[in-house]
Amino acid sequence: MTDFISIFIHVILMVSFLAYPYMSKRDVAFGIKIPTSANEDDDVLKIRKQFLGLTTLAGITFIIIQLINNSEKVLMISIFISVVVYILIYIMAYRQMKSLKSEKQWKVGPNTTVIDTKFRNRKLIVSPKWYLLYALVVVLSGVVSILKFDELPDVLRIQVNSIGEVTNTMPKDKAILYLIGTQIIVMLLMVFVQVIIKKAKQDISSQDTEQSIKNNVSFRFMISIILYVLGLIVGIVMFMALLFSFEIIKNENTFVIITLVLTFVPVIVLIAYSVKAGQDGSRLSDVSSDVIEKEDDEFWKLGLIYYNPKDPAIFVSKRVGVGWSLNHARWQTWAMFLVIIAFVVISILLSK
Amino acid sequence: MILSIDMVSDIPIYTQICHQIIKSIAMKDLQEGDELPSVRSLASDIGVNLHTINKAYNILKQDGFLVVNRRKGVVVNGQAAYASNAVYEEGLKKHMETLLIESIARGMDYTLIDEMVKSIIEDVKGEF
Repeated sequence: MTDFISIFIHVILMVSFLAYPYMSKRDVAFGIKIPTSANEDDDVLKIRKQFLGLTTLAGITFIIIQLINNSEKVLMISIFISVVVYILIYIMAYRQMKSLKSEKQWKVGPNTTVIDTKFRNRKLIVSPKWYLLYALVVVLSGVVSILKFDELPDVLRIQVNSIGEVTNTMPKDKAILYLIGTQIIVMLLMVFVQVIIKKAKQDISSQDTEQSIKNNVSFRFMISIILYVLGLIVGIVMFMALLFSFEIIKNENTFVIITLVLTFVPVIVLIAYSVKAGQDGSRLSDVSSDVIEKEDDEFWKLGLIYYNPKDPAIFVSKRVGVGWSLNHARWQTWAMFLVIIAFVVISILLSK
Repeated sequence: MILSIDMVSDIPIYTQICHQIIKSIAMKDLQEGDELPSVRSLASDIGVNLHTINKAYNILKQDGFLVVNRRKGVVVNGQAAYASNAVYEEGLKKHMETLLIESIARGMDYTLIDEMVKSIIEDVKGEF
């Protein structure tokens, strides 16, 4: 079982990096703004081919290494190393694109920002009433804990490794608080993700405004639905983890298989939709232009990190891949990082 | 409505916002009670300082086009609040004087000015 899981994780990692050039906005190549017509340019295609070749080569190497020495320890290290390697391959492509751009001297169009004042009144995210299902999962966990409390053993298993050995236990009252507390935090986080999808800065093209608004709206709504479902699945999985700790679910293999199938389905749907629609739905229509629209490379460090002190926006569209990122010039961004680190540290301390 | 802001223009961004909102009101794209984004939200979307949006909204509030509604935020005011009056007409006359005097000095044809006025009104109202 572990063999299969670790190979699968490596394949998903490789595929999501390979998909990068196909999900980014059509006027961005490896973090650099280009005219959409330049996507057929031979030199741009050459950089893309090289990126795809190197990423495939690295990915296959990692899969082989994993196959030779398939253990959980190797997996943890190789995931980390592979992500670093993939990012280095990306940065190489970014640098090549950057120098190609200064060579090519593509025409830069007018720097126009287009805003739909009714954007946030459109259907961007799932209706908030659906959050009730998130709450229901937490309530259900609470009810089961109360009903079963007296029958439970004094010490509960809260962590099991892939061969079924119990690696961490806790006294039952502490364990229940820990499991339900994590559930609440994760559910709140998934609601926060929906808020980000709604609030994130508009990124509407000035070339085909009406269509661009439509694409942006349907992209946000689809991603909202997929992430909502993913959140619900994570909630259900955490509920199952609780049942597993209570030894209501006995077999650890069934638990692992259900978890994997349930979580990978939305992840694969997410990748597939991202390739189809492109970042911000930009690939839903195919307007081609010979000019660079809205030159803003200077604010994107390595094409990855947005840093613009003059922009009050906190959540912005990502440059590479799909989704949203943060304006790293705002203090709120760093406050959020601190909160996340605090949560991680607290949960590690509590589980000790 | 769609705001289209030229980020490198000589015309200040708050002026562009004012002009476009007034134009939308003139074209009936924006009507009484229509909500506009909050200062923070609009500033974030355009990517400019909050003061820029505040300035535009304050000018439009002073001129009666916008009003703050306790529940809905910034909304378009009723027509009566910004209806043309003697004071406004006096100001407009002064503006036009400056423009027309230059065109007279340059010896421009009156009928051309007449056509210009007609075409501008036609563009906005769809009729004359």
